[in-house]
Amino acid sequence: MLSAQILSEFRQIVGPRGLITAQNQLQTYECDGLTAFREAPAAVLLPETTEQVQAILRLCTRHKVPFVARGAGTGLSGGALPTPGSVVITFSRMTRILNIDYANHQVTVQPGVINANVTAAVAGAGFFYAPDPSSQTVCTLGGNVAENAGGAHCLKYGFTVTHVLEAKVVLPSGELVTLGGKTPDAPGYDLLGVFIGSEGTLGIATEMTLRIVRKPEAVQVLLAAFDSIQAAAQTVSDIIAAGLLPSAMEIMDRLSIVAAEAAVHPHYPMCDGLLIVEVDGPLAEVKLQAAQVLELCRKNGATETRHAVDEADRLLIWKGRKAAFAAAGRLSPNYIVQDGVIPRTALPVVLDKIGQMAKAEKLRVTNVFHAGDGNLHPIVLYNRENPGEEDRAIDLSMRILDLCVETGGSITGEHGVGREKQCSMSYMYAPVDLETMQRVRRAFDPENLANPEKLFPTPRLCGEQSRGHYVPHPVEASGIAEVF
Amino acid sequence: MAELLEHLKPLVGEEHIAVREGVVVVSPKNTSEVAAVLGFADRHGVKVRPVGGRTKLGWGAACEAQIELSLLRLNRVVDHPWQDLTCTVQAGCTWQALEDTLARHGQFVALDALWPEKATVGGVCATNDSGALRHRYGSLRDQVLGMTIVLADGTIAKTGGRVVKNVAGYDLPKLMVGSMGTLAVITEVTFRLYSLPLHSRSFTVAADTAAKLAPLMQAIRDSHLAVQVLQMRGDASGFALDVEINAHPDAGQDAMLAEIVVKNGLSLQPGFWLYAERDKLWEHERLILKATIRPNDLASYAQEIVDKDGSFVAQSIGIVYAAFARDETTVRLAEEFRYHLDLQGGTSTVLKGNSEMDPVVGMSNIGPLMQAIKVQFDANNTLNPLVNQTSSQPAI
Repeated sequence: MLSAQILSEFRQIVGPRGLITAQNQLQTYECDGLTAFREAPAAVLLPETTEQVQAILRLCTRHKVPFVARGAGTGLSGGALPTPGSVVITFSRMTRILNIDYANHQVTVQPGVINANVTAAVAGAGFFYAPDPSSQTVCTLGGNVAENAGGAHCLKYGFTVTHVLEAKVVLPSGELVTLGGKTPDAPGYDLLGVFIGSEGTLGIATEMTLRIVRKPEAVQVLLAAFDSIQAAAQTVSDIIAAGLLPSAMEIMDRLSIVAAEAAVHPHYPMCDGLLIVEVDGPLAEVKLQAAQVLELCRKNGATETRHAVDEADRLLIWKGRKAAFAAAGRLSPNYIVQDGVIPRTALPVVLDKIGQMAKAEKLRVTNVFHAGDGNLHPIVLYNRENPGEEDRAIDLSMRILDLCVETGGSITGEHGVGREKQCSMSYMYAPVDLETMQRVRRAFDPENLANPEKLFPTPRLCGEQSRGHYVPHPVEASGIAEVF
Repeated sequence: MAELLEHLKPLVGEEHIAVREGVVVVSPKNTSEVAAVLGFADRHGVKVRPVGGRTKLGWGAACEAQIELSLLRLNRVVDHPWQDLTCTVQAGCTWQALEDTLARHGQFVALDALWPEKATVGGVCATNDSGALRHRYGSLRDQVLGMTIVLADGTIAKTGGRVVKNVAGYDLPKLMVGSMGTLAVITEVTFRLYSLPLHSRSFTVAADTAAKLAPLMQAIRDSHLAVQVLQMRGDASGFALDVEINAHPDAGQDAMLAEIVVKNGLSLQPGFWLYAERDKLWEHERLILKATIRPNDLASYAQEIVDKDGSFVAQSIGIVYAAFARDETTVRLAEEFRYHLDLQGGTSTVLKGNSEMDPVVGMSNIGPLMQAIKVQFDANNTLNPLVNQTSSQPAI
C-alpha cells in the first residue's frame, strides 16, 4: 500500500489522468498473457515523456517502491506481473514514431508503439521491420525489447537484439543513459546487448532506434503435408543441411491445423505434420530455392505440396499460423503455451518423446513451432474443472522444458523467463552462472527495484511452488535466509 | 618476481611459465588452470593481461601487467555438430584453424578477422573484430551463442547456450565481446555457423572523389541486390567501391548491378581480393583509428580522411578503419577529423599508434555504468588494468 504522500507525488509527475488507483481499474493490470499468476499493483502510472519516467523512478528509488514496466501485456511468461506493493508503469501514452531515416535504414520509436505499426509506417518506401512475434498486431516495441521477442522470421533475419541500434534507458536511479548508438559498434561495453532481453530488470527504455530492412524482391511460401510431424521435422534438418536459409520454417500438427482452420480458415491441407517454408530474395534465386525445398519435401514423403498463389494467399497462410496459440482455446477450455528450444537435429526424437509423455499423463499436447530455429511451442491442453488436471498439465509442461535442457537446449527461445520459469533457470544454469548474471543486475539496479522477483530463482518463490525445480539459493545455502 | 614464479609453478607446471620483458608468461592448459591462475593473482594484487595470438595488444588502450595469461594451449575445436550449424571451440584456437575445420562441411563463422593465421578466437571476440562480411552477416555479437568465462576472482561461469535461439537470462556473451579482456577471460566460445557462400562475385568501381561514389553506394544499399560486401576505400591515388554479390548467376544480379553503376555515371570492373584491403592499412607504422559514422555521412568523412593525408577502408554500414602517418602534422589532422566526427555523432577509437591521444572519442554517457560493471566483475582491477590507474574508465 502506498502512502497518500507518495501517491500525491506520483500525481504531480503524471497528472491525475496518468495515475490509476481505483481497485476495479487496477485489476486490468494484475496479470499479462500468463493468467495463472495474478497480483494487483499498488498503482498504475501512464507517463507521456522520458522526463516523467525519470521522475517516477527517482521517486520509486527514494521510497524503495518496486516498479514493473508494461507494454500491451501480451507477454506469456509473467514478465509484466506486478510484484507485491509495486507500481506498474505502462506506455499506452508513449506511442509515437519519432523519426524515420530511410537513408540510414533507421526508425526511432517510443516504447508504446505497436510492432506491426513500424512496418506499416515504412512499407510504402519498400522497407519492413523484421522481428515479427505472433502477437505483432498488438504487442509493443518496449515489451519486444524487454523480452528480446522473436517470431517466424528470426531464422534468417535474427531476433529483436539484431534490430535495435540504440536505446535511451532510464536507470532505476532515474538517470538517463544512451545504450548502443545510431552508428554501429558504439565504444565501450555492449550494455545494449545485455539490456535487451533483461525482462525489465535493469531499467526502462523510453526511446529506441531500430533497423529497418529492405523488402526482398520476391517472397514465396510453400506448404507441405506429411503423415507425421517427425517427417516434417526431418525435412527441416535436411533443408538446413543442404545449405539453404529460408526466411521462415514452421511446423503445425493436426490439432493446431484444426484450431487454425476453425479460427481464420487458412485452407491448410489436413495432415499430421504441416511444414510452412518461406523463401525470399532475388526472384530467380527464390524460384531455385523453392524447387530445392520441394524436392526435399518429396524425398521425406510429403503427401501434398502447394505454394501461395498471390500475396493475399501468403498473408492468409501466415494469419493461420499466427492465430494458432489463441485458436487453441477452441480445442480446450484451458491450455499452457510452452516455449523451449532444442538443437534442430533433435526435433524428431524430442517430438516423439513429448507425444509419449502426453500419452502417459492422459493429456493432449498440440505442437506449433518455429522449426527452423528448433524453438518448440508445445501447447498442453487441459480442463481446470477436472480435479488435479491443471497441476498435471503444468508439471508436464515443465518436464518438457527439462527435456529441452537435456538435449542441449534452452527453457525459452522468445517468451522469456518471467515468473513462470524462474525456478527452471536453476535447471539450465549452475548457481555460479546465475550469480554472474546478478553482477550485472547489481550494477544497474543496486536496490533491486526493477521488476524484482522475476527471471532469477528466489528462495521465497521457488520454495513456495509445489512444482518446478527447487535449488537452494546461495543466500539460503549459506544460512543467511530461509524458506518458509 | 622469483616469489611469483614459485607460486605459479604448481598451478600450471614449470615448463609452462616463461619470463618475457619483465612479464611472467603463464600458459594454462584448461579452464580450471586459468581459474587457478586468476584466483591467485586476484588474491595477491597481481595484474593480469590475457592474450591469444598477440595481434591486437593495445586496441582501445595500453595496459601493463605482471602476468601475461596465454590461452594458446587451449586450442581445440571442441565440437562441431554441423547439421545444427553450431560449433564450440576453445579460445586459443586460431581463427584460421577454426575456419579450416568448419570448411570441411562447407561452413564458416561469418566474420573475416584480421590476421586469421595468428589471431585467436578469444582475441577476436575480446576485441570485437569485424571486416567486410559485416554488411551481410552482422557483427560478431550476432554470431556468438554461448561462452565459458573465468572471472577475475577465479569464478568459472557458463553463459548463453548452444542453440540459435535462447533468451534465458542475461546475454553475457554480448557483454564479453568487445570488452577487451577487462571483465573476464574467455576460455570457450560457441558460434552459430553459416554455409559458405556458393556464388560470390566481386566487382570494383573507381572514382577520383568519394562524392561520386556516395550516391552509388546509397543506391546499392537501397536495391534488391544480394550484396555480401559493400566496401569503400581510398588514399591519395583515388577512391574505390568494392561490391561482392552472393546470388545464383541465373538471378541476373551482375547485370542489375552494372545498370545501377552506369546510371550513376561510373563503370564496373571485375574485383580482386577485397578482404585483404583492411590488412594493408597496418603494413606500415601508422596511427590507426576505428571510426563509426552514419552510413549516409560516410562519403564526406572518407574524403576528409584522404584530404588530411590519410587512407581508409570502410564498410557501408558505417565502420571506417583509417590510417594516418605518425608525423606531428598528420596526427594533428587526424585529431581534427575526430573532432568533426564527434560533432556529428560519430565515434573514434585508437587501435594503434599514439598514446597521447584520447583512446576513445564520442562515447555516450555510460562511463559510470561501465565502471559499475567493471567493479562487479573485477573488483580488484586485476584484468587488463590501464597504465594510468587513476582513470575512471576501464581499459576499453
